[in-house]
Amino acid sequence: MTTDHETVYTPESRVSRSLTAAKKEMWRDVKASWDLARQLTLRDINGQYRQSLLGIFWAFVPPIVTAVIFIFLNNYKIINITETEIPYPVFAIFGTTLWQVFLHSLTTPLRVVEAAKPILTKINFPKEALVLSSLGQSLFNLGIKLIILIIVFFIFKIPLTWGVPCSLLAMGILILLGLGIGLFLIPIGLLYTDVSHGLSIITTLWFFVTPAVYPPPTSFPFSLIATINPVSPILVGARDLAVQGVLHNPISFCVVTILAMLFLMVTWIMFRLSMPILIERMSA
Amino acid sequence: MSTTETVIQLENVSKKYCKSLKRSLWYGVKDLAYEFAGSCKQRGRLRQQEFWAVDGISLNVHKGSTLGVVGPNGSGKTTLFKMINGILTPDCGKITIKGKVAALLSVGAGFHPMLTGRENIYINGSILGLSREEINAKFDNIVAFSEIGNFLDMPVKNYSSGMFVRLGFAVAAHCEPDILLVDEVLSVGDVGFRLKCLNHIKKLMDRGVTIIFVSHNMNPIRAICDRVVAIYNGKIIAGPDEPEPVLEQVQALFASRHLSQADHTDVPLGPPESLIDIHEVELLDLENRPAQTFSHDAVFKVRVHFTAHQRIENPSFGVEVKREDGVVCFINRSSHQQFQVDYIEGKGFFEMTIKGLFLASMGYITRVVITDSSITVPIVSKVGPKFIIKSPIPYSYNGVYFPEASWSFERE
Repeated sequence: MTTDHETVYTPESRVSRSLTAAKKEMWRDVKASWDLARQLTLRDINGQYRQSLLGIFWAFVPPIVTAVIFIFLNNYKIINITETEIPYPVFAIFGTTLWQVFLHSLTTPLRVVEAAKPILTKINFPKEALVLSSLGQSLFNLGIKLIILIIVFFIFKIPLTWGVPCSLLAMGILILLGLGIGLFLIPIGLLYTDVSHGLSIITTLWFFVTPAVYPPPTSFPFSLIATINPVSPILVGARDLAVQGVLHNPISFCVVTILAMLFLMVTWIMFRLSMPILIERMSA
Repeated sequence: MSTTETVIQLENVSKKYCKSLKRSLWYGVKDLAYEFAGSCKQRGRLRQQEFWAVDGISLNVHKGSTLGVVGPNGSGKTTLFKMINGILTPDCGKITIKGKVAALLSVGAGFHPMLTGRENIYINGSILGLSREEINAKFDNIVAFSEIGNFLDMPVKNYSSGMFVRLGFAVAAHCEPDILLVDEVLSVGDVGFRLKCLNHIKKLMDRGVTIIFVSHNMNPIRAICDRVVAIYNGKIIAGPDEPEPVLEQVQALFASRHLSQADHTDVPLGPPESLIDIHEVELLDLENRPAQTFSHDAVFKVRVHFTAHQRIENPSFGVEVKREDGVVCFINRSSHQQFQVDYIEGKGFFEMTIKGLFLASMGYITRVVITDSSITVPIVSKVGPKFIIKSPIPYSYNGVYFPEASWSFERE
């Protein structure tokens, strides 16, 4: 920025500005915030594990514990899960790990913006950095979780297919879906803490209506779980691609992917528009 | 360095806040809905429980000038700053800024307590808009300025508050903005560091950086600002003008407020009806002739003519002499020197005589005050004439004091 650069602040709604100008501004901010986003991501990851002896070990715990519980319940026939095409432990560990990846990307944006409140009210910086930092942290989390999946691959001697790289792509889509929903929650979530309280209950319920530890039901009305729940086709698709090398339901996978990308774009714009108003309420 | 090019232009800028939290949050939801709908009609009017924190302020700041902003707590200074910085959007009016703005609203914002000083320099730097390469280039200067030394690789949660502030200021000071907003941050840190910060700000001024400076302490404002504006209840009540007249008005205003609170009588806010008028301040030599230039060892008299509109018990008179660069040389008060006056009423004058100031050769500014018996609140204060001291040492001499000394020498 030079001295000639002129900035104007007015009360007008930013929706009323032209779309091309808005897109240009967004792109400029994304570029400007790249460095900062990297710094914030590293700061949060470093800060998170520095006071812990076991460090990233804690990232492995939740999916493994959940998977072990379901493997136990299934082995002793306490719950009755339909026969899976692949060994159940593989199925369950993949399911819970992918769910955790999604859950992390969903809850991170609100957590990141909440933690940035003191900076937001004191320094003017491109807010895109917070979105990119959330994405960075989710990708780091995915990287850690992949270690579990690699170990499972070795133990169960799963053959490597072309589905594996495709599966990584599907995991990326899962993260973007989570990010979109996470951004959607920010405007109200920052004003009212009810959102974060409610979120833990809703995501627990959501886990049970997602075919993570059981195969997608085929009989109505339970088949709705697979068709209405946007997480289902992506999560199931990622698992099928990795383990079996095939995508059983490509149409719903593609439809959800496209919708998730559109949703992310809309929520990102909403995030941009709402930040100035939210910052006002933080400092008020 | 001030030019006529306007770099900050505020046109009738207002900002409102809400007193109730519940309502504030609900208004937040409503504002979001209006923003998404592309409407801004809610912006310009007050809803229930809302008030104007900044109310119709218009102001132009020229490139390279230094503007001081004074006003009591809660008068809207920080809100104004946040709008200029783009953290908050105005509810009415328009703000036009030319150039890169950096704000020292709170130093060390964004520091992560678990990370070391070194890591936090990079993080804080990027939050303030520096790239990694820029930080690398300035890293050594930042560390030197902060005087952190050996503690650079210690987590900042173990820093003393002074170290924390020093590191925060050091990073912010190296941002090289076109416009720098400084808000109160200098009130922390020890005296040495405060002086260092002021010097740094002066260097930036010399480089043509436009500075807006908020402080409760009038001395730095006098020392560095070429214009001052006073804000109260979100409105400009004095200035922008040269520092002394504005600060005088402000002091008079707040003096009357304090008095009214002490008496439990209701004095409406606004320019006060003064209790005492000071008509004239004379500087006189030994023969009571008006003078502007004094020898360092000459008799120096200040005579102040005033009219007290009310009877004031046990007043105390004061004379302050300040070097032209803002360094206060002394403040003499009659009460400190066991000079008692039972009361004043109507016309009168007081006189202070010093047998020799023994100050260094330089220009000086006087200020006179009359306070009530508590000495804490000036009833009236007025800037007196300037004068020059001539000592045998030339003008460029830097010390404050030129004491009379006798010398001796012996061989052993």
